Amino acid sequence: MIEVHELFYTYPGSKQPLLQDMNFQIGTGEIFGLLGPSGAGKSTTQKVLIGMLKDYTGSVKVLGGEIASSNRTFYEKIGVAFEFPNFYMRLTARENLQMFRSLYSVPTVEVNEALRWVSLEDYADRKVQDYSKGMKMRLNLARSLMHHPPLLFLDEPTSGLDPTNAAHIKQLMIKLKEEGRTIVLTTHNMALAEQLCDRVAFVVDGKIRLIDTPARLMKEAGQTQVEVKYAHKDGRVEALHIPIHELSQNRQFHSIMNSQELLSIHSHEMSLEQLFIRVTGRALHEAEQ
Amino acid sequence: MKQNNRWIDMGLLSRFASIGACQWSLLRNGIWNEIRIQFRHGFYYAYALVSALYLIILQLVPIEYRESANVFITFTDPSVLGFFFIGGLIMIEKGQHLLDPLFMTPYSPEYYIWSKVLSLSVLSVLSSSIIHLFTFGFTAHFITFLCGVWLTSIMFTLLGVGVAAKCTTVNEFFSVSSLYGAISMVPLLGWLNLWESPIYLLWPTQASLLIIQSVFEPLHIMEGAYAFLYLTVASILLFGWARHRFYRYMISIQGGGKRL
Repeated sequence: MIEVHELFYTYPGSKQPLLQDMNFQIGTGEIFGLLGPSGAGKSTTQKVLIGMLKDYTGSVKVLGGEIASSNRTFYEKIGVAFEFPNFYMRLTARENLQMFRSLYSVPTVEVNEALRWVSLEDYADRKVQDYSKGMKMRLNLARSLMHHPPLLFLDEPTSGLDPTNAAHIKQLMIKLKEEGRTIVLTTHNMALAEQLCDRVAFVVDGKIRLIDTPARLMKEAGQTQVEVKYAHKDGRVEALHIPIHELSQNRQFHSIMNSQELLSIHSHEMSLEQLFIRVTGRALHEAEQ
Repeated sequence: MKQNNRWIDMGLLSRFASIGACQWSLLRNGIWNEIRIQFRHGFYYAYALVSALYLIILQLVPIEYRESANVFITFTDPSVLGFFFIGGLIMIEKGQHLLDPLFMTPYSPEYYIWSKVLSLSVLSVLSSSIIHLFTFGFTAHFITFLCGVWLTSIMFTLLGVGVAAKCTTVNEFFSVSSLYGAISMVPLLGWLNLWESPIYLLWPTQASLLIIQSVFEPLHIMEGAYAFLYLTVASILLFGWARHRFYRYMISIQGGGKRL
């Protein structure tokens, strides 16, 4: 679906390339996460993939063709939901979707159906200027899906959503994946990526530092630690940290079990976010633009 | 992959010509969408009021000056309304970052420009028609008059697109556009008999004045050929210029400046 080979991109007027030697492939039906802090280059990568930036070097093939030589029909086949949901504010949600829908020549879904996907059917005739940020984000997603694109680019799709609606959007994305759509998810929300992505790429300073499945990354990143809390006879409380695979052979743990009062046992798995910090030396929320 | 900044080339001409040949539905939908937006922004209400006001003014003008007043009003207001409205529309859409999602559809900047230009020409033609028909009725050269209004409106709105593309605020647009507007109105000096000169023939707006005035003073065939041809050529050239500025100052801000 997407093949990127030795991609470099330099913004006009800049001496240093923002994207440097990027290589990755995204298969059909995959949810692929581009993860990284703001300013890392993930949005620029997305802009190259959707044909907004064509003055790159290297090769970027999307839907079988080099993106630099694509024409307008390319946009019949991709759906893009930008991070900031921009609409005609004085028009209603229904009018906005009708307008965008009229710009496609491929079959599109009825506006009511699209609004139903994102639970906005009851607010169809309300002007977008009266929508909350979360409602606009959902409308943004509906707009990107109306023409049944096989390839979707979603930039921070759950940003500004309450937990209920965020869960609803996640379910919708899983459903889209089950239908065979390919989704490129750009986010700095590691929890979202961990839950949805088949594979993730860590983007830092315009380079991809690592690509793998979230599960394998976490497995390879280190062992799960077990925290054992216990109380001494004099009442002092202490905690012991043991790698999970050493638990059965750990003498101190057995001693605690036999002679101390055991208070709690918790396992601590490394999150994708902690792994990101370990691999890149950067926090995800730093360098906000 | 260098950016191609030539604004008049064979590719441009073929694109210009191909607008008439392919994807009419996209252009038609684009125009309809624009009319809906303009309606929502109150342009149609505003021009209903303006047209009514001009009707009253024309009734108050002595009958011997009424024809000249109609030409003057039509040329200086309904024909050029797109020049000013396009600035507001583009500034709003620029400010709301609407171009990003718009151009993530098959809708190209060329369709965007033509949809705006042609939709605003509808308002020009409607307003001019109302003012003329309610004052003079359906006259012999009314259709020629409307063609003049239509071509003038297209030309001025394209000029407005080119000016607005580089501006960042509505105030900036109005200050820059007033200069362009003043230059384009120079042939009025001759029309008002303030300063006679054949040099006005170089202005496309002289052609506009000739065609609009032809509703009362029919044109000689050579004059008509000059006027229609000049307005058409001026519109083609202005489209090339507006398109070039649009890609350079608006698309390059979003993307890297490469034409899609």
